[in-house]
Amino acid sequence: MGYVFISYSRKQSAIADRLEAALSSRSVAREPVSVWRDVNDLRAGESWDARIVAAIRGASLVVVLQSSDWRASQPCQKELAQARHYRRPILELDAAALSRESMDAASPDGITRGADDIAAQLRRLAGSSEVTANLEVRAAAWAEGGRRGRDLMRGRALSRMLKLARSADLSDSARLYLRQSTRGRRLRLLMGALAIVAVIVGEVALRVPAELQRQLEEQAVDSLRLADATSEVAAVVRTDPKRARELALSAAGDGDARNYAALLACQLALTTRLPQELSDSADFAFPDEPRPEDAAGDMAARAVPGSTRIGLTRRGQASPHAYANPGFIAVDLALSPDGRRLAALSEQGVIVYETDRGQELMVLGGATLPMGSTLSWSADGTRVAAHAPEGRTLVWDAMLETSVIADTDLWFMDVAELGDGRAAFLSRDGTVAVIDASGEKPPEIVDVLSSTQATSIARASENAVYVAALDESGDSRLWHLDLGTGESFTMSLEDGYQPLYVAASPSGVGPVAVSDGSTLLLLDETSLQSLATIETGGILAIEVDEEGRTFAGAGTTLICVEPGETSPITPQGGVVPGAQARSLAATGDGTVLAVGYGTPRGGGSRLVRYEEGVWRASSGLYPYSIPLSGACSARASAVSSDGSLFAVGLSDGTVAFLDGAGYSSYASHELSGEIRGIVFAPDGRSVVVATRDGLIARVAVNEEGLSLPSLRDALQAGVGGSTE
Amino acid sequence: MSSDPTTRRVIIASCDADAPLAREASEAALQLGCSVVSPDDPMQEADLCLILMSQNALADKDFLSRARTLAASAAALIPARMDGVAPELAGAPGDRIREVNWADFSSLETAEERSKRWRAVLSSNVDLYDAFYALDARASCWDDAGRDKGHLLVDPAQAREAQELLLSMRDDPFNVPDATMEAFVAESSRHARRLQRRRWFQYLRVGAAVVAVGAAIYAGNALISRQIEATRSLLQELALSEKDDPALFTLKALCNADVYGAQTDATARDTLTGLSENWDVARLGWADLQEGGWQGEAILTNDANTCLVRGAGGTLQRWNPQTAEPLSTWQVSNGDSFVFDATEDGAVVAVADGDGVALYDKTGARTATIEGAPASVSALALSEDASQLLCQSGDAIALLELDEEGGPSFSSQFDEVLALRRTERGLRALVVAGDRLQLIDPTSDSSVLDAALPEAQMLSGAIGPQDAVVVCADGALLVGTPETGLDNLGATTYDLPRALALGDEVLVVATEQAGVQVVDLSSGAPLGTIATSMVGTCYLDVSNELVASGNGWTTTICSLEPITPRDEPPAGAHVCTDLSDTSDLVSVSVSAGGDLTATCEEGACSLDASGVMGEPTSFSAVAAAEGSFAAGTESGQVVAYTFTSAGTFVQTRAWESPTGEPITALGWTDDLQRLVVESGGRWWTPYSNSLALGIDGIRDTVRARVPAGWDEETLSFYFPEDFVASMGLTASVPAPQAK
Repeated sequence: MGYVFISYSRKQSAIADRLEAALSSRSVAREPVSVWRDVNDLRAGESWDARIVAAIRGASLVVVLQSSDWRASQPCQKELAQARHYRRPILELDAAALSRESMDAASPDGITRGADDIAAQLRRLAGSSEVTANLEVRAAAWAEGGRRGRDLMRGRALSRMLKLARSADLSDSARLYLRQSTRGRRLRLLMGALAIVAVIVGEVALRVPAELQRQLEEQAVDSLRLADATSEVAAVVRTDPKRARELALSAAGDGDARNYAALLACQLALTTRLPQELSDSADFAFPDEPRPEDAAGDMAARAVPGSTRIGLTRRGQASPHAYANPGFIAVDLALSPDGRRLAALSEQGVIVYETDRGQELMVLGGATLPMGSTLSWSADGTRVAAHAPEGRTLVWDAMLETSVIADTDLWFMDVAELGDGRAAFLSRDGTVAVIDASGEKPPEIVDVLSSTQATSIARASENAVYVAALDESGDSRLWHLDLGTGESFTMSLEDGYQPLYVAASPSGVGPVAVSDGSTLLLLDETSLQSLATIETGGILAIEVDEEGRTFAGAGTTLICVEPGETSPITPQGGVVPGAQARSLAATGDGTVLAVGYGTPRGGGSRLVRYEEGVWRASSGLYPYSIPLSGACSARASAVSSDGSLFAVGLSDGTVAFLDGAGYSSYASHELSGEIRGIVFAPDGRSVVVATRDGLIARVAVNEEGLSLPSLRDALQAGVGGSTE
Repeated sequence: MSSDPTTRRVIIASCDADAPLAREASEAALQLGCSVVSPDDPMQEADLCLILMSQNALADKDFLSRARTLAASAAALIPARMDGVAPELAGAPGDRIREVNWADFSSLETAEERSKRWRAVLSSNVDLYDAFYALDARASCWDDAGRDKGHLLVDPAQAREAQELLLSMRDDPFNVPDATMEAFVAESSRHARRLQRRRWFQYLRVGAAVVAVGAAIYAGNALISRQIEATRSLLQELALSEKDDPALFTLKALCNADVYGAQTDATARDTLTGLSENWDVARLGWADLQEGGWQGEAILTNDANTCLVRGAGGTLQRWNPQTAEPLSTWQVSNGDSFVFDATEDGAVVAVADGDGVALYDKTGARTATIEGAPASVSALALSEDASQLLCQSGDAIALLELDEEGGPSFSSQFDEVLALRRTERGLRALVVAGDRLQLIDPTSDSSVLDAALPEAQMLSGAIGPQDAVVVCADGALLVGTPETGLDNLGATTYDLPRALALGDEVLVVATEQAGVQVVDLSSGAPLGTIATSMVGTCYLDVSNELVASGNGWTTTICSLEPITPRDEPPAGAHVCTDLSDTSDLVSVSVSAGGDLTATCEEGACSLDASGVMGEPTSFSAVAAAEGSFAAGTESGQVVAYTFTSAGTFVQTRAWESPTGEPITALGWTDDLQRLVVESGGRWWTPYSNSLALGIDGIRDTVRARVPAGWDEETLSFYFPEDFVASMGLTASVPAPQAK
């Protein structure tokens, strides 16, 4: 319970004494009313002012005994000022009225009335004044104690004070004290929270590395297991493809679909094709007995006596231009009807070679064929069958994903998508073969430009192309060729400029880019006026994407010129010494695949993306993702219309597919000869390729090759079948 | 001021008229045990100063000033009103004597009463009253707030002080701590101690957490880094085919096994696979590449002790091709573009650039400037005695006699000049004249070889050391000698090789499509692919079984020796031509039924040729040496096995004869590092890997073959420092500054 401070003139001491006595017999909230008076509560030697101020500050009520003496007294006035400063409730009583005696026994005297008034006022204040008094006291103690944190209010007391402070009249110092106390509480809460966070982080920091380590160990073990399995698959895939499939299935398990090694093991296991038993072999003409030599088209194949090699000789030549070496004495030899492929039969199956360089194309296994078995190609050259002496016939698909559209005598160099489902393949002599990219129709040959060397082609409009080609004088020119009318003319460029490469946006937006190998010219797409000249050197490939960005493979790196800009940006990424981009495929959303020398073996493939304001390069075709391809370069690439799949034509005839995210790839190796041009069919389900050797073919996109679950299904089918 | 009266020093100020009263006070002080200090001693300090105030005192003019002086020297002051004197008369407002409360003696009549009051006044702890009231107020707050802990003292020191205060005030005559204060202080002490413990615990917890976080992060980082390194190594190992960089592949497998403990069947198999490939001997120019340098064409001297390389900025660099040690750098041109050739020993170097042709000696000193050389020289061939220089300029060649002044002794224009070279028979130019291919001897102005060329749009060619030539016509490779004319080599490459070079028995051809391939000149068989770690080879030179491959950035030195055949087996080789052989440890034989059996102490190994090779064949040769045996087949395959400490035979090598001919003899070199294989009448020496078993065996075998001059980046990225040091891996050193 608080107390009442009585401010009076010493001349009214008697009244104050009486009032104090009267109050002592009263109680508020069951507590006796206590009174602070200097005469009682001030000790000898104490400082008047400080003590009085402290007493007023802590008083629940300040009672002023007004009189002329009180008004004339300076100390009394000071007491009133202090009471107001500390927002103490003040009750003014007239000293003269208090001193009045009772008129009768029923009516109280002045002192009693005064004491009653004081008690009533205390009741009205209902303790709130006491609380604010306490706050004022604490605030003063805090201020006098040097404003130390330890003296700040805490806990429920602070909460109570804060609640009260909303409505209470408080001194500035009390409000400051409350603010500081609140800050102190927040600081403590913050420190507590930080401690909790630190403990949690500590826990996490201890657990996360352990978990990461566990995961990494699992990953490492998994990788090793898969590496082991991949090695095992590779070891048996030619001789026992079913076993290879079992091993791959076992290794891949049902783990992460984004596991490179698992993908590789599965793809590797599928490289040896399995046969089907053939009940009716009417489509095949088997020889009566095994042959050490065969001839078809303009090709002859003959086993070298005393050696496992097979000589490949073109018609009219005396000696072989190449040898195939299966590493065993072939049981039988058979050339495909066009003479482009050679099948060599062993007891374990068939190996198919291309006949230009004698390089292996594929292994057809999964069967045991006794001596005396013979081979035959189907008339369309898409299947190979082996006939055993006991009468069993097995057949393999040799062109599972590929169909030949045309076999020409052209030497293809480049391709341009015309944008309406058609593509124009450029031959070295300037001939253009226009095909429906769906591959359904034979090519339309446009033989207008007579050139000794045409190098590059780009779309000018739906029915016209730009061609970089030498003219009759041996100077390189940029031609405009109308594919419908066959009209052509050379375009005016800077004097002496010899264009070798040309590119234009498939959408028609953005510049026409031209390069002579060292300078990149950007021309306005309508006026063909020069927009920019960029000297970089070492340019072997250029590309303009749908948004008008120009990319160029310059030396060992890649540059990009944004639409409207005249200076190039060089993306961040590793430079591969010696690797140069020979072909670029851009998606239009800031992603471009560059392929060239060293692809896919030496890392000469880069997937470049525009991310967070920076062009970044990463590996494109992974070195290990193309099983059984020894290709070192690629100079043809394309991207599907939705940007989800890249296709790359490799130098050994392999067509590799890389998903748009650059994660996984697979390959189809059914063609021979370097692929010089590749375009996606409009539906994105196949690509049309043209080779250096004049072949135009359609290769189906096998998206299952990129999917581990699909690969598992394919492996499962192979394991289930039986041809023994 | 001490709270113990017996230790207090009291000074009493009074006027002369109040001396009796002062004596009473003094006596009271003495009774209490206080020491009374004489007011006449100005040097004395007192704890308490009693000032006797009265009308008499005020009448004394000097009294107040004396009293103030005495009060100033005391810690506490208590004026005592001895009569009706008012404090307001004791000085101006603010005066210390006036502003403190006076002890009232005015109403006390007797000495006894005064003495009692004096004792009370003297016993009071007036200097502690402020603290007492503050504590009282706070205790009241606490009590009023329902004894809420928020009002308690939180500082243990503060609580201790409060306890001491209560102790001091317990005997105070005027202000005695009440039960609330006692409870407050006691509760505060407990609360403060509890808070302190909690605070300390919090500090400890936070500190421990911080330490734990730091330690965990550090340890985690270390663990993760190590594990990531191991995992990355493993993944890298998977990512790298042995065809790309067998040395790196093998070293990674070894590192995984040796450093990270990943000794699995796969790593063992991988190391053997990698060791079966042809490794680079040295890599030149990697350190310069990091600094923006590059390398162009390279020429190997005949003794294979020096490799001359065109460097950036018109420099010619001399390197040791076996150790990748840079020897010297000469400034030979003002620009990047120049051509050069050297005598067999490298003693004289001819350099041609836009400024003309000059000769340099072995020290790099320019010894002569050649007059009369054609402009725009694109290729050079220097005679062995440095007396003649054959120059190509466009499609023309010119022969300069260096000892004579004047113009060329021979010059002629052709349709195309394919190559110039100094052969063992003199300077030669391979040219196209009409539809004929000619090997020109410019000294005698004659054609050493003249043969019809097939129709082709793209031609390139190379000259061998003994006047053999190879032409690539739209990809078809034709080989010719003066004796045999031009014929198919039996190998076909792509239409335009990036570089061709001929050795005595081999053609080295670099294409962008298939890399650097070595082809056997006598059979057309591919002998292998070299410089597989290099992308885009466009410069080649062959000399003394070394090949220098350059891609315009760096140069890789490879050895042909492990992949090319020779006419005789190596000296000291143990060779067996039978179907049975025995060493100190192993016996191997082929039964009449064609099955092979090998035995070694407790272990045995049985093979059938078809099972080993996967195809029908039969064994044609076997050999044994120490703990190893090898078997060759009719289809030209060889397998080698070594008996291990585990009591089993492990296959260390599988090899195929490039020509597919039967194996007719088999053995090892005396150090067991190479197999010695006869096939088709020639002898091959592929690596046997017979000793590459177990970590130590693999380590030793690898150490003997690691290339010199790795790029520093690769070393630091892939391998720990200790591993690099233990394996003797050497980082590339930059070429010295040009002189």
